[in-house]
Amino acid sequence: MSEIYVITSGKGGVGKTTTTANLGMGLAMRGKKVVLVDTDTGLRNLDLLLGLENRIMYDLIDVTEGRVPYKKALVRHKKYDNLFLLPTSQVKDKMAVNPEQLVKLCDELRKEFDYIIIDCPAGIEQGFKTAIAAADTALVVTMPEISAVRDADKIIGELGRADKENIKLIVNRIRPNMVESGDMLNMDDINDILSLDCIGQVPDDIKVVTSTNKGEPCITLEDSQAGQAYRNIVARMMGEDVPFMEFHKDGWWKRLKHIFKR
Amino acid sequence: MSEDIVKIKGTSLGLQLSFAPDASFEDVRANLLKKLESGSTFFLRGTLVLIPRDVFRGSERDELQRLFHEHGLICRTQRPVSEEEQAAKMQAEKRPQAEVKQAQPEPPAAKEELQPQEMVVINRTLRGGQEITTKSSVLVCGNVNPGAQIIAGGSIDIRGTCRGMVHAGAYGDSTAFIIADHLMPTQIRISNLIARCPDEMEKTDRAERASIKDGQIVIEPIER
Amino acid sequence: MLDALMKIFGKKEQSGKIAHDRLKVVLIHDRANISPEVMDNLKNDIIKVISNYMEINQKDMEISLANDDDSVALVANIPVNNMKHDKG
Repeated sequence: MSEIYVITSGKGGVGKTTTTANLGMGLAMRGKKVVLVDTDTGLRNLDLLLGLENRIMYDLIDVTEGRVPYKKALVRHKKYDNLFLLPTSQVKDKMAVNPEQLVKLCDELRKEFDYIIIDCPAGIEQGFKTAIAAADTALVVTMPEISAVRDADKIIGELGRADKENIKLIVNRIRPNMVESGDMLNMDDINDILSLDCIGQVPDDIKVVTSTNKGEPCITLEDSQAGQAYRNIVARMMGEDVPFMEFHKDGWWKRLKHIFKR
Repeated sequence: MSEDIVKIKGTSLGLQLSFAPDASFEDVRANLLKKLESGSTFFLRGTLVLIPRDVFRGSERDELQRLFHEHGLICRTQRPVSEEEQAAKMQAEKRPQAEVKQAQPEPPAAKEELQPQEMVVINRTLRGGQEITTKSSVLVCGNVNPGAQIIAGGSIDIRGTCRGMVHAGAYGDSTAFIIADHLMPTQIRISNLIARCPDEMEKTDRAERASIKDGQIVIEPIER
Repeated sequence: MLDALMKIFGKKEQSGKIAHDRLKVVLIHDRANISPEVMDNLKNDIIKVISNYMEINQKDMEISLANDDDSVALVANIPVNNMKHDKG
């Protein structure tokens, strides 16, 4: 029986699409058959993060409007042939798909895939409502930053209104040095306000930038802390009990350099 | 025949309405108006009325809510629940939520002032963007997060942390008060007075109560 | 071909440069991403112009945007039935 996840956040730029790409690839690396659905119609990016931007023939709108069957629109990953992307249109906008259409599509996809991961756009309008419609579980991504947490709280409320009760939290772009010096919200602060089960804590990692440049998600990199954190999230999604990482903070030499730089 | 258009069931939460499946919105509205204007004993001022969520469109539901409000009743929507679900729900709401930090008995002072049948109970955390407006008192078993809002005719009791906007005695009752385990709201209002909390607010370690004394809103620590 | 050779023997490319190249191509494609209506108009205009010079098989004609790793092209496949004589 397949599982449908939606990756959402409210706020833009906290790492939904990066998370979608990494979790999708991680599950595929562990042998599962995965389809990633981009619903950020008009501003698509999931194809870029996977390096598949040149292979798009048809998109989500072609499928929901009945022009092609979904199989024709799926883009298979270059390296992992059990990982597929269903891209969206860059020409239309989010009013082009409604919740019922996505639910119907996911009902078909369920028959073929172990995991369906839906990348939700920022905001709380039609795009969001459509993306969450078919999901069994919502993963809310946030950052240890006041406006991101506030938006996450609003999103959790909206998810509740839509009767999506199965919600887990991923805290992204954590900077351990700032948390330690009290310049960044820590997990207790965030937990206090959001009161959600946390399924992942991902540190800020420059390797995420370079992997986006290359179109290869950082979960494939052995030496990336963010990659390791994503691998842990994938394990937890598959029911394994993995303790949260201790982050490598900058050693005192690096901190000394920072002081002189100022 | 016209009686069957709107069916009323009394529950401890309030009056639960259900509508005949083939009744048009106009029929229902007319029927309700008749009942409200007849001064029927069902519809006393301050009573909570629950209407099913999915029978009518949003604009029609809004109209019904306005109708009730004009006659001094509070109208909320809910999914139609079966008898068993209703009974189970009532059982669950009697038990306080696990997230409340200490298990404490209800403060004796509050018990006298908050009458059970006029209290709205919210058994979860209120999230940013959510809003409760009622003529009665409110009990929240959970937090009130920044961006959430409670406007109550009566008093407000929060078993958790209050970081949102709370307004007690909103319809003129200046004896109304606000209690919370951690009172750190963006804004407190009681009746027509407003108080803003200091910009740098540390998390308080004692429960506090806000009330009007000598024409001002004062905040005092209390034992819970 | 030269590009491929360069990749094998050349220095390992910095990811910033890779991003720049990918972005250039994707933006051309995005900007050129033609809606079906515009595509129809384009097709009809092309038919009109070319029909001034030769008779073409409109039914079997194909026009589309093709993109590969480093470029985007408008590709038109137009079967020609007959050349037209000079019009006066």
